[in-house]
Formats: sequence, structure tokens, C-alpha cells
Amino acid sequence: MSPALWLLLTTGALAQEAPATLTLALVTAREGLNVEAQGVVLGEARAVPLRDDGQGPDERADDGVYTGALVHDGARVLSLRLAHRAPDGAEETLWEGLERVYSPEDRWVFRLDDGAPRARRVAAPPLPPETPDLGAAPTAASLAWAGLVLLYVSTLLRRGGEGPP
Amino acid sequence: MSRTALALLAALALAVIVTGPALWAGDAALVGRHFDLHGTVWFLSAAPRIDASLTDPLTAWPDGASLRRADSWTLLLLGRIFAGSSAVALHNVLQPLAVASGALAMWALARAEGVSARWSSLAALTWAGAGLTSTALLEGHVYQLLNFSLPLLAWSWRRATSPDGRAAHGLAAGLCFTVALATSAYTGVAAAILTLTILACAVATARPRLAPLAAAAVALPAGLVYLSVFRDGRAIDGLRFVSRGFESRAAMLQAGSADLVTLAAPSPALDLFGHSQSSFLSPTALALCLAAPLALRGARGWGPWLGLVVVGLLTSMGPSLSDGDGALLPLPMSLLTELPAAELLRFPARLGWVTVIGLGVLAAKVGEALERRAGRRAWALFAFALIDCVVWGGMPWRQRGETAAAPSAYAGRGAIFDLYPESPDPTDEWNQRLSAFACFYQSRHGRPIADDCVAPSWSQNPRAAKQAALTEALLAGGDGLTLLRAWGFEAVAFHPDLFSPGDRARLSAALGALDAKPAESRDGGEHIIVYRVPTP
Repeated sequence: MSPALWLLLTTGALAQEAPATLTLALVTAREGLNVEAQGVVLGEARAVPLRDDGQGPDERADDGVYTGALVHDGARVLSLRLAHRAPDGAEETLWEGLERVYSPEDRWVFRLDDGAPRARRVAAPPLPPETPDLGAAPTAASLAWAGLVLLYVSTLLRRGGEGPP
Repeated sequence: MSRTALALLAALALAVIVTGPALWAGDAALVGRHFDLHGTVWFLSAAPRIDASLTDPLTAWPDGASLRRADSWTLLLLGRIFAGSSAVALHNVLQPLAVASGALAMWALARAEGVSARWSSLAALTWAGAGLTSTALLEGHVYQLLNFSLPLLAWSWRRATSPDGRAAHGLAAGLCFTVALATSAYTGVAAAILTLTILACAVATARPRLAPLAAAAVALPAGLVYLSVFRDGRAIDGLRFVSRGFESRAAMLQAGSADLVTLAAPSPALDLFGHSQSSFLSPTALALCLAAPLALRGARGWGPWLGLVVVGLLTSMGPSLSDGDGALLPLPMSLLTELPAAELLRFPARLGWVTVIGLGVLAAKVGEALERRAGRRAWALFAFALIDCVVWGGMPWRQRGETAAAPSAYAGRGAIFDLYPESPDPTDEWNQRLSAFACFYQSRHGRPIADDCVAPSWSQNPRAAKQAALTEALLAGGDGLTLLRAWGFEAVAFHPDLFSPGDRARLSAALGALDAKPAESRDGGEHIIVYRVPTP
């Protein structure tokens, strides 16, 4: 069943505050990162590693997508920090802020551009860095649909039946 | 079954499809997406206790909050009528009912314009699938969708301004205008634009009789009453565009306007950052609108609807035609941006209902004309319009649900102060979101709170100054207790998870001095600790 349909049918269940898993993904071309997500979930400090080793939630090793899974319990909003821990123990904050939980089983994607000091929250799915940004694709697709509809309407217009009364 | 009954059932079915789980969510889940949802549910819960002075005594404690610039008088009335019922359940049920009533009114409008029952459904689909519909549902502005008065106004005003218009038509139009004004201020402005556009078309093509005067006799007094109440409601506080992080009034208006990108189908990124503003228009309806000059050649009565499409687009796009990144061409609204009162039109995109009405009726007329030319081949247009609605428009798939419970530690009596962190974000989005949570929780626990739940900005919310003073006192080891007693609060609801670890520890220690055994809960979607303020 598609996630959207499942969500639609189980909205009542969402209100039950059941444990749910948020997938966190950091997309970056930087190599050798040791990334950890730190959050406070309903009073409990949680830390999960984000790995690019193809294990657990991470789909593919060494593709530049560091992935981790954070279990929460129906929180409305999470305080979250992504940090890189250097071999000497020094921590570098990659992203920090509050994030609203719109859907318990969700996937939050962060992108750390080359040379950028901080990651940014992005709307794309966790794609490898070389994959082009999807930003304009839905808009372009809807415009193509509009063009198709217009084409169909123009074929109807060419029909020689009775015009307006 | 009569055609009207069939249309009613179809409108209800369409509304249930578009609004998704809202109908069966009941009291258990908040259905919608963004933070005004919490405020709207609070408003429904507060409506029964609002007195004649339009003051809510249980918010903005201890002074009470003025509701003189309430977003919707219609919602206030509904909240009072259904006093005693769950505000969450009422909000959820209103979603499909609002969409159905608007779609049915559009169907009736197209019928009144001479379109067959079958093709009038295209007007209803255009309405229900519009980006403005999904925006209102996801942003929590269900009252914006109680705007069936707009199609009914178009219907009665067209009659009133025709050469055979009667006083009854004018009175009906005046009544519809009044209802539109009560629905929301934006609906009222859209009604005014619609009225002027149709009147201009009528004057250009024929000589209207005295029926419009009957409309004015109803609408003008209602408008004056509305303005006099609104004027006392702190509507304009000056420099709001600066306090909201905009460099100019024009920039603020542009941010709330439709542009060439938001007219297209909403992308998945649209819903991600706290808002879902879309001005999406059905591509099928747009294609039919473009075909109108050819398909309706020789026909009469379609000019005003094209006029509404054009005028609605020009106004909803705000100060300039934009591609989402930069201004391409100045539009008429740019002439208004120097006026302080222009700030009240912060979201010109909401005036796009004028476009939707014109587009819906025009699409229905053209669809019917194409059927006469091409027969049943034209029926594919219904499928296209349905695809526009549920595939490209993205509803109901974009709906979300969250627990409608409040943290149980709120249980108790006496005024309670919500202590949240203060975000330095210049747009105050986070502060407004957290305030919305506090207001929603109030609809569940019923205790007086510090937030003004109708304050248009964080700086106007009395909790802002109080929270700053209390936080400073607690962090510096000052006298928070005296402040809380002076303000009349009997408890503090501390939201520890949202503070940085250091501030969390310092504030916990300071609040622990007030109450060594606070109540704590981890349900209702938040971890809170409630400290009682000791009585002197």
C-alpha cells in the first residue's frame, strides 16, 4: 500500500502517540564524516549515528548519503542537532534547530554543500550528491500536463459540430 | 433523484475525497498541517465564552484578549452554535462541509448561467481542486472555505445588474456580500472586487436599473459596522513589515502573493517549511479558458467571467508579476504599497477566489460548447479535471494528522504560564508556532494562559514581554516568583525539550525553587513540567 494511502487511512492511529521512526539523511560530498544526530525526545536525550556504510537504514554504502533512524513517540516538535565528531574529539555543528514533526514516519533530509559551514534542510529525498535537484521537476511536469490538456482541447475545437447556441 | 440532490451528493463525495481523513477523525486527531490549525481550533473552543465586549477573559491573562479583529465572525457564530461539542471534532467536520458548500454553490452558479447540470460540475471541480482550497485546509484556515457566499454573490449580482434586475436580486446580493465580509476580511475584499468587476461589465454592455441600490442598502451599513469594529482592533500597528523581517511593505505583500510558480502544481517542497501557500489553478480549466474565444465565438454572456479571471489574477499576484525569484512587471497593486493600510492585505493570493469563480464558470461553458462540437469525446475533460484535483492538486495526500490530546500535566486550576524558548528568527515563525501550541492546549485544559491567541504578531502577544522578563529573572537568579504573582499566575508549564541543555538545566534549577515536586508528563505530543507557584 502506498505511504500516502496508508497515512490517509491511519490518521486516527497517528493520534495514539505510538513509537515511530524518523529517518535522518545528510547528503554531502565531504568525505570522512563522523556524523551524529542528537535530539531530545519527550524529555529523553537521544543520539543516533548517521552512517554511509549500507547498513541498517542506510541503503547504499559510500554514496554520500549518511543515514540514521531516530525513534520518537509522537512528539509534535523536536530539538535536533547534527554534529561531526573529528578524530581528536572536537565537535562541529552541521545543523541545529527545532523541527516540526508533520508525519511520525517521516524522512528529513539535510544537505551539506561543498565548502559550506552548515548543512541546510532540503525537500528532496535522500539522493546521491551527483543526482540533479528535483526542485523544478514537479512544476515542469504540471506544465507539461497543462500542455497536453490544451492539445486535447484544440483537437476538440477542430471538430466541426454545432457551435454555441 | 433530482439533479440538485444528485449534485449535493456529488459535492459531498468530492469534498470527502479532497479533505481526506477529516470526516472520520472525530475528536482524536487534528487534521491539517500548519500552526494556524491549532489557533483555529482554539478559536472554536473560545467562541462560546466571548462576551458582548468581544473579550476573551481566559487568554492574554490577566487582561483578556480583544477579538475585535477576529479572523472570521462566521466561525465565531459556529463556535457559539455548537458550544459544548468538541472544537477538534467541529473543525474536522467543517472541512468537508465547507468544501462541499462551495462546490455546490459553484455548480448552482454555472447552472444559473445556462450551463447544463453535467457541465456545471466542471465549475465545482475547479473550485474544490483549486490551490486556495488545499492551502486553506493545510494551513488551518477552514473559515476561508466557508465562502460559498462568493459564488452566490456572483449569481445574484449578475441578476441585479442585468436590465431586468429586480430589487430582490439586489437585496440577495447585499446579503451575500455581508456574509462574505463576515466569513473573513479577505473574502470581503474578494467580494468587493467581484462586485466591481461584474458591475463594470454590466455598465459597459447594458444599462443596469435600480436593483444595485438595493444591494448597497444592505451591504453598505454592514460594511460600515465591520470597519468600525475592525478599526478598534489594533489592526495596523505600523512597521509590521519590518518586524516580520521584510525590507519593505511591497516585499511583504509580494511574499503573500500568487506568482507564476505557485500557479502551477504544488511541488513536494511546498509543504515542508511551515506553510502551504499555493494558487494552483486546474490546467484543464485554464486550457478551456484559453479556448473560450474560439469555442464560444458568437455566444453571449461569457465576457464577465473572463473579466473575473483577469482581474482576479492581477490582484492576487500583488504588487508585481513574479516568477518566484524576482519581479518581472509592476501590477496595479504596486500603487497601493505606500499606504500603511496596504499591510492589511498581507496575502493578496487569497483574492484569487475571484479568478476561481470566473474560471469555473467559463470552463463549464466552454466544456459544454465543445461537447456540441465533438460529442462524447469532450467527456474526457471530466477525467482531466478530476486528475487536476487529486493528482496535481495533491489532496488529500498532503493532509496530515496529529494527536489532539494535550499534555496531562496541564490538569489543574488557576492561570498557567507557558515557558517556551524565544526564537531569534526575525520572521517570528517559531514563536508563533509555539504560541499556537499553547493556545491549542488551552482549548483542552481550559486554564487561563498568557498568550493572546489572536495577536497578529509575536511582538503583540503579551506573553512575549512577560516571558522575556521571567526568563531573564530565572536565568539571573532574580525574583521570578514576584513577577508570576503580580501577573496572577498560579503555575508555570515549562517545555524543557526545546531549550538548549545549558538553559534547560539553569531554568529547571530556578523553577525547582518554586516547587520541588512539579507535575510532569510526556503525553499529548510534548514533554512538560508544571511548577506550582507557592501562595504567599
